[in-house]
Amino acid sequence: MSAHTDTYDPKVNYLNTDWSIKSWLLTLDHKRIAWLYLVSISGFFVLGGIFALLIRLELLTPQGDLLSPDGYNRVFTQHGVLMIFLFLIPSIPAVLGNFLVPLMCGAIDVAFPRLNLASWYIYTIGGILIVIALITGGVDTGWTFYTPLSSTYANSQVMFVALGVFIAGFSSILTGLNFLVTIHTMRAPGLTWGRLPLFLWGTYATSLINVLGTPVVAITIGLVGAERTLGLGIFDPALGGDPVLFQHLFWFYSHPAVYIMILPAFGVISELISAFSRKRVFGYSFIAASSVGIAVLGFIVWAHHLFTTGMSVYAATVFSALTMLIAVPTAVKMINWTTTMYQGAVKWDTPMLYAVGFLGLFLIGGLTGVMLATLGIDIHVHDTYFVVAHFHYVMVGGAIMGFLGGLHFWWPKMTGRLYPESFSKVSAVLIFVGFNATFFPQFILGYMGMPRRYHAYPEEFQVLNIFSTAGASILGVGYLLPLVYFTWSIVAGKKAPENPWGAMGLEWRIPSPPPTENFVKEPVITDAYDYEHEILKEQIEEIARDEAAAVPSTA
Amino acid sequence: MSTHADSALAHHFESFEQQRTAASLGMWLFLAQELMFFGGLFTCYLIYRSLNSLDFAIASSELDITLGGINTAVLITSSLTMALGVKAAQLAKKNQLIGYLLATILLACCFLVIKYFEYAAKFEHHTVPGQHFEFHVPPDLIEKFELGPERLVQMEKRAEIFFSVYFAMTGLHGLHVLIGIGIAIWLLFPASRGKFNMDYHAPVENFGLYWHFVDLVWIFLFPLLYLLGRNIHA
Amino acid sequence: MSEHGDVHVSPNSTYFGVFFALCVLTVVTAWVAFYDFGPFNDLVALGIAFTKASLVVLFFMHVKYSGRLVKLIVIASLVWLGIMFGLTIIDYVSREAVTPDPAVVPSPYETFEPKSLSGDGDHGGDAAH
Repeated sequence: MSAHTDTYDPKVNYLNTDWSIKSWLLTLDHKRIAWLYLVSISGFFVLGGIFALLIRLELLTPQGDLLSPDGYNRVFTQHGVLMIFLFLIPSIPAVLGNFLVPLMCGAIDVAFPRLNLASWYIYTIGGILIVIALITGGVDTGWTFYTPLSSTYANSQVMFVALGVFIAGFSSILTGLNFLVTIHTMRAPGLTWGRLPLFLWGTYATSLINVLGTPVVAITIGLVGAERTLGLGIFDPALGGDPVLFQHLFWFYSHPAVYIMILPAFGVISELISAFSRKRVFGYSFIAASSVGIAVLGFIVWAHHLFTTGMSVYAATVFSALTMLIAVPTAVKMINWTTTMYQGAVKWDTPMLYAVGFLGLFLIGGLTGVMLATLGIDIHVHDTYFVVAHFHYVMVGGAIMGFLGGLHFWWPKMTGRLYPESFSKVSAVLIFVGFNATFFPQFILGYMGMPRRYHAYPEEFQVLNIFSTAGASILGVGYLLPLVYFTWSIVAGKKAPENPWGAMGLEWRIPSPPPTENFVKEPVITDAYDYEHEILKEQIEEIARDEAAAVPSTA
Repeated sequence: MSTHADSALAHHFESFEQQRTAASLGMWLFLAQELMFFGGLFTCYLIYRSLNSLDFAIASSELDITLGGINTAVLITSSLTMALGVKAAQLAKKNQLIGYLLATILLACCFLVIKYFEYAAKFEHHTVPGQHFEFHVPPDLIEKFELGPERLVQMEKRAEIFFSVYFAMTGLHGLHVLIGIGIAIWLLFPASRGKFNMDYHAPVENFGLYWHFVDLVWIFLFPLLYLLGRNIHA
Repeated sequence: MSEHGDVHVSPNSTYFGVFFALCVLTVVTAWVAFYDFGPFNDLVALGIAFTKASLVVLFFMHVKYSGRLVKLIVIASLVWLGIMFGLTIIDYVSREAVTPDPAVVPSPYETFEPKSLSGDGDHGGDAAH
């Protein structure tokens, strides 16, 4: 890469090198593709959020007054499909992963840049199909498309959604494939597996699931499509087919899909906690190994979603025990993170607020997961709000906190601008408070027996439901704020230095925003968590001076 | 970096070796996802077969073993021509490569034509799942397995599951053959310009891997679909 | 990363030998299919299919000469397939085994079934079995 040194102009970076629409839509630069994804997933997130708002408004009163029963079914289905397939699954891998994997590897780009761009187009086509279904009337099967409801009884928009999910699935397969090959073949000399940043380990584990799990859901949804259009009767009980087999195959992917959402968040949190504790991450190899461990174990637990759908009691017992195994590598991570903070010089910048919020929320989400793995408890609370609260604690409290934390952390690198710290801290606190106010009451509601997916409920549940809706409005404000100040910061934010946090990773050794070729000179691989390293000293001192100068004016 | 001027080496790779490793690794991971893609169908087969083994065996005995067998031979031969084609690409033997690619395309078309006749026969005999599905258990088998009227009705219904699985599996496989023909035709262009050599032959090699995978799937489909009911008349 | 750097070129004799073996095995598998080996029918058929598949993977797809990583991918994807087969089938093989025979142990739910619905036709077909 030495050839670029002579022609390098520090004023030109990957963002301002060419502003034409064509240069964005046909870009092969992984950093620009990350932006394409960021814009699309934000759109789908807002859309999914509107549906969440409708759900909470409907549940404000016991009677079904805002939405019809059928309308309510469509709303929660769209909320689930948009949030899971179009927001959560691509969020961290496709946005932060695309931006960071080559940077952390010390490479110019991912292994297959054209494939990377194609993945975004495939994802967009899938998203458009799902939105078409939404506009033309929506689907009421729930995001799980259970047969025979989806294959026999639902309206034909279900075909659009199924096709959309099928197509979007190939986008995540190809992205996963791309990252696996990149991490295997594109690492700079000296970046051994034992030195790989933990974010890359998280992405690696996620990509494994993407490649080995996603095709199964694709073929399963394809079979539902074949059942509707061609009349093949694979899951049709009238022919001796078994709808439970659909659930087996569906959850073979869709349970590991939860780890597709959470494993990259684990990677982000590992980076954040180490950087803001100014301390080597504790138990590096345990965190790395537990990521891969979760990816593997995640594949042998799926049938805990089927405990009440007529599967054999014997198999249910086996899956119940296997599910509890997942708690082991997850607990290893939690313990290592808290130990990393112990006796560290913890700095409470916005990303760290998200990281600490993540620890608390994910702990609740994870522990209630162990409760649900217990066969007896699951049969009691299956399909109640307890389950809804549990998976929101994991997906929203876990994955979205990780995503937002990571976005705040790497935003200066992505844009070359700083966001206003005071606003971002307020929004982090609002999200934490709003989230708990929304979903903690749902644990109680579920335990009291309120079933999920109904538009009306008995009156004794109303107080807690009002609580939940009030919390949702706080959460909504919390999510809107970043949208506003991030957009503002692109235009008017303060210029970001190379390393605003005093962090150690390879991506902080290059200009913000990076040049198109990423590395101006051959990257020198250092230990990504060596916070005693001399190259940091000056930068950390500079940050401390800036902060000392800023204190009197804010006090 | 002077090698970057050579168009066959993409700018983000350091060497041909790195580019080759990446391409081959990517293809193998793609095949891993293909295996899981077909794996979902094989799981359906496994479950329904284990639940209705006699029904499956009787329905399977309706398939044409001769056509299935010929198709197996055709695909194996096309695998051979493809393997020889990859070797020709490695050794930069342009005309040989074109010849082997054409042979592979021809054999693949042959496979699809035979498949077409098989499917056409199914439509004629109403053994295509759907409203007009009809299946009759041969009289000698009714006698042999002492099928009561109730079991007979059930069996004639359950045969539809077998044919659903049959059409899903062979249909998806046939789609892969069709895509393979498309890629092979597309490869003819760079091949005729003599682009492939020892340093750069990943497109041919990866298509070869894909083609062998298509062959592998058929190697399992043939016994699982065509042969399992063969001894039922014995 | 140089573990499979150099390109392997097999002699033509290898390819033709494998091709010949595949043809012979195809004839064998079709021929033995007409004989009944009882419970070993599938074992024989799948055994031959696995042999054929191994020949294709090892020689046509060059896995024999590939690096450890490619071998690992082949093995890992087979293991994952095994997970899917194995853990799905344990549900189906054990459904009958542990569901109590209704004739011996009456279901506790039957007593709660509303009388008015009992004669109401069949709802789910045999989906529950």
